[in-house]
Amino acid sequence: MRRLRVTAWIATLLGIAAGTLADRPIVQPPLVLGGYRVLAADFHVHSSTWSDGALTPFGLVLEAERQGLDVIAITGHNQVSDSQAGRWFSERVGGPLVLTGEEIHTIGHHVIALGISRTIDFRLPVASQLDAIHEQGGVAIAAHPTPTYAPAFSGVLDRLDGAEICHPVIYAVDDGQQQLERFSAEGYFAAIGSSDFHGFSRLGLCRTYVFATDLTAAAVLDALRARRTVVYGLGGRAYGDPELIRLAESVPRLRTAASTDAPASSLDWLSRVAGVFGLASVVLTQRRWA
Amino acid sequence: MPSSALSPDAAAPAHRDIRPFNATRQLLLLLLVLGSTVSLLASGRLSVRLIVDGAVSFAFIPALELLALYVVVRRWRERVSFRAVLGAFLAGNQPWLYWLVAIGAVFSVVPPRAIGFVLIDSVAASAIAPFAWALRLDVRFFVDECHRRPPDAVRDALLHRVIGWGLGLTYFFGIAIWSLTQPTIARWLGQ
Repeated sequence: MRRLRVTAWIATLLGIAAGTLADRPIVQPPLVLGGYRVLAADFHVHSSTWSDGALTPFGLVLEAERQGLDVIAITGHNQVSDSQAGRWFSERVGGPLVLTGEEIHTIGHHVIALGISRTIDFRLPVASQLDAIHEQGGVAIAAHPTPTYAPAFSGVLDRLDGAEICHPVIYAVDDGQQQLERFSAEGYFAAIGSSDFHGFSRLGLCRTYVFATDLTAAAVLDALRARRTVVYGLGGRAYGDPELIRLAESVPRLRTAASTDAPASSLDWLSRVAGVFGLASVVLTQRRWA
Repeated sequence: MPSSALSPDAAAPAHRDIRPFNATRQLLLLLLVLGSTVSLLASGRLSVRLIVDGAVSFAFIPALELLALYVVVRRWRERVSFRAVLGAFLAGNQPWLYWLVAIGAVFSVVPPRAIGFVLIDSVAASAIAPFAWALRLDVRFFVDECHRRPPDAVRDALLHRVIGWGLGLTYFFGIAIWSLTQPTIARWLGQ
């Protein structure tokens, strides 16, 4: 038993060592197209503090860096504090730009509020919520506006700045992409791709390419208001400003970088196999308490 | 009684387990498995960075588990050393450790774009197995280690769940818990 226990720990440590070696940030040189800085962004990310995510705001910052993102918004459920913690941390470690914001989470609809500093009362009517976001100089995005949530925006479509056209729902539901397309066709929105990351799947699985004048929060919010975005959805279909889509097509890596399910490396596989075998064996062979 | 989670001398009196090392080891193992599962889910690999962050994120689970145990133990008329029973109690997490390693393994090999609601719902539904098994272990713990009568042990285990899980879910889902649960409750009530 002792030998098995030692083997289990060695396998676990081997798995952790291999995974840690494979855990390297994706570094891309800054990209300028049409006079704009092209920024990879994920505007819908949840932390483990009150928002049923799996990583702390600090962990999200580091994970965003690993996924090659320039901008993230940590969107706590009905609170902005973890986005502020994430921004504070990222500024100190030289991480990606973190926009403060929240996901206004109600029974009938979810709204991503970016660039705000005070929590919006989720009990307000949707129109008042959108107005409150704009009063703080923020940007309002319809989160996963599938038929479950889309009806709540009826009558206030002109107050939305963006709508998610790429979201994991497009992979999880047969006609998920069509559902989001139908909503986007109802108004003039910035195309948004967001991972709604809670800890499984990948941060940046769906992402937004923002054509901003600079890598600042103000420039990103301005670009969203001006609808200067490009998103790649199901099957690599491009959404957003047609002229910017044409520019983006000249850089193939934008389309491929949007894919976060590249084949796993041999270190990844070593980490998975040795790590899972080791952990399972450690649990099986742990000493009892007596 | 599954013998895998309790030792052959499970009926040994609680005072035998006075080594804080046991409880510490159980806690660290739980945190390691929690962090490792987060790492596998989020990146498909085990990395120190994500293991540590995942362990910090879910440290509230053992904290609330111990808080709930403390409340339960303090209600008893008989005096039982909280420290003495900690290690034995935490050993009852073993079903959850198996489950966490299993879902970590599954999510590490499923491509991110293939993670659909069916898989997520299946994983959530599969939690009923470790939930029931761990509940049974806890009842056995209260009977064997703390010398509680079986009906009292069942009550203790349920009270522990109400306190620990209630606080844990409230923390985890935050203020959105109402908007997340209300539609389900309304459906149950037929509204």
